[in-house]
Amino acid sequence: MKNLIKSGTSLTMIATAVAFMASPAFASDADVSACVGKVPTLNILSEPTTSIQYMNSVSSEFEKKWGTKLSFSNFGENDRRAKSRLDASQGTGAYQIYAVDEANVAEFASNGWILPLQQAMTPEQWKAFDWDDFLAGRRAVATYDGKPYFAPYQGGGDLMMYRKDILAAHHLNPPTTVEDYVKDVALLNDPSHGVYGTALRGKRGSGMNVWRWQPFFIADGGQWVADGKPDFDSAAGVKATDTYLELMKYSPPGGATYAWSEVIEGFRSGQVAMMIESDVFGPWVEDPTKSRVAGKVGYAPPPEPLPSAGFAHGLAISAKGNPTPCSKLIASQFLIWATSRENEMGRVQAGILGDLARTSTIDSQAYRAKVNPDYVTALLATAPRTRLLIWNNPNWPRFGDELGLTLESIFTGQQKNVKQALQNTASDLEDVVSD
Amino acid sequence: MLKSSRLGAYAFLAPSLLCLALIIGYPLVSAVSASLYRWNLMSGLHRWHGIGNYISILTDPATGQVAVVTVIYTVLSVVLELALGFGLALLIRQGLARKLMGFPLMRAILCLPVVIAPLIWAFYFRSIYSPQFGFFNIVLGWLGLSAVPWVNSPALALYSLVIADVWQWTPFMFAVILAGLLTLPGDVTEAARVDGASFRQILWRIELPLLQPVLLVAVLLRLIDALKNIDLFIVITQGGPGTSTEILNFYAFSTSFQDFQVGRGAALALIVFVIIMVLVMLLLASMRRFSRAESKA
Repeated sequence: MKNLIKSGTSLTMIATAVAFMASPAFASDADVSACVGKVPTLNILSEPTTSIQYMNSVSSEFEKKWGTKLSFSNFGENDRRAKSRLDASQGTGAYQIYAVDEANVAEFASNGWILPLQQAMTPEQWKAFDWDDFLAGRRAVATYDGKPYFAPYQGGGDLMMYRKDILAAHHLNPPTTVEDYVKDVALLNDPSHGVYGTALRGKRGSGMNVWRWQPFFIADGGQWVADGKPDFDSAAGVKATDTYLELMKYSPPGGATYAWSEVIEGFRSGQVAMMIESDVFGPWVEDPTKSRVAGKVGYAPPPEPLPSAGFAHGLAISAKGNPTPCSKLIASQFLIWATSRENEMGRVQAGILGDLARTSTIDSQAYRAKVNPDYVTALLATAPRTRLLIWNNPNWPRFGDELGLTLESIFTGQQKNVKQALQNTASDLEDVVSD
Repeated sequence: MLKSSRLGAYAFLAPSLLCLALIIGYPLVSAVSASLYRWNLMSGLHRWHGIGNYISILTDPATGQVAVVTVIYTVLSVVLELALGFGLALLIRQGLARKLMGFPLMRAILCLPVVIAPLIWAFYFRSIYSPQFGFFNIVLGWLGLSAVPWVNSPALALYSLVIADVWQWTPFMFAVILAGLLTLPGDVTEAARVDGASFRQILWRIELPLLQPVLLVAVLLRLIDALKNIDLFIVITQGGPGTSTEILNFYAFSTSFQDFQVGRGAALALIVFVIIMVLVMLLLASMRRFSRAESKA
């Protein structure tokens, strides 16, 4: 019996070794083609951005070439993050590709839930991927510990967007300082005529209210962690929250719990005079089929001393979801295809002008011909102030989400004492920082 | 003979019992087991904690607030549904009795919200409550009134969710109560009427006591359902603004699947389970009592 087990084990080992040696992991780049038809489906956990929708609409192109079906499961940002965390942390491997962003790349990379791109791709694939063509800001966010972890399809920083017609009617120039911005927002607020001074993100979440609050916090000299403890309950945190609350007085009803989508819809429907938002929304407000304010919007860098909150979203290769060499190679091939210059140019042709990540696309005539020149000027002027503002730590999701819940409680009046509320949350998060 | 027939009965029951054990027993046992651990899916922490999760839940001030929100939501929803359902049932019964045109159709239409999936219903209400573009605020605008932050204010959000729940589940109460009213013995009420009893006297002294079993079952079923509700909370408020709409069931969900504290989440889910089981036992006991009373009569 023992001999039988022994010989069976040996046979299995030999068979595994033979199969492994024959697999593309040991093969040259040319053997990527040997994986055609070997991976029936790539499950992609993503979000319904215009770029992902475009990829889905042209997926047959990839499917025909590689014999692999693309199955997109799209969820809103918070749900997508929660679902991918659960799948990755449990090693379920239900998805081969995750949409990852600035808020969770550190967590996913440090836990080994996603593969460094250069480890997953063959040298030929890496060359075709053309990493250096991605905008520097996108590359910086997608890199953790010196290694690129995701292929960006979207990203940017902040811009101030304002209604030229409303400012002109009040004989105002676009504000250049936060102080002037707050004053002008109050001045432009005219609910009796259906116009509110501004709109801001109030809904809880590290990528929601915390995202929009953090430039105020950093501009006031705030730092996330000091002496090994959370430090957002400092004077800077209180001042940033007070400024935010002041601005919220001039936002549409219910503004205290707005997500970014409601902020943008408020602006596009003509209810909002000025806002500071992510630059990707510039082309959205210029879309005449969806925006009542197309052609009436001016763009400028955020008022001083606000920094611009840099971000990037992209596609990463799941470690557990790709157990075979072929699966890794086809997943890599998908990333190359989905974020290629050709795909981005296709998006530009389709009128998708916000979800882009490559220098060559931004520099292209086709792109320049389609976007408002003021928008491009403002983008270029803001670029030097754009950086990652969040606490770049694997524990950021919990840290940011807890803070987001507290900020929502403050904005909606559930908690009145700003200092106390921030202090309580900072104290609750001490273990997260020391972890 | 008796022994073999018993064995035969057990043999026939075995597949069903096995299925039940797998479908209900296994998840329940694993939930109880999970609740005894400090278990965090993200950090990988998985340490024996005994009844520590239960103690921390019961001593956490947040639990008290969640319990208050749960009671307000559940009781308010069910009371309103009962009152409205009863009123509608009386109205439709009158119409049906007098063979008024359109009443059979109204009866069918009134039941429509119940057949819509709760999740779809939640999405309807999310759009209806939108502060900028929601139907309610548009109507208020037409009337020259200012917009109301239905689900964007901690003071209002819970009551807005109650409205959504009442809107969907009043038809259930209506249908059950109407069925009960239509099966009441006509001779008793007719005799009372002949003896000069008023509509109110007939309703309070004859019909309501006779309807008691139906009402009790309907109320208990709705209480159980309201306690289990989560769709409205996930889709519309996610427990917010702040923590103003966190009910026990949602709290258990967010603890397990947003904070990834599986042990604590399991303990919370089991607390909800125990509350529901108490209600179920009450329901079964009252049904037994009424059937005994009926057979005696």
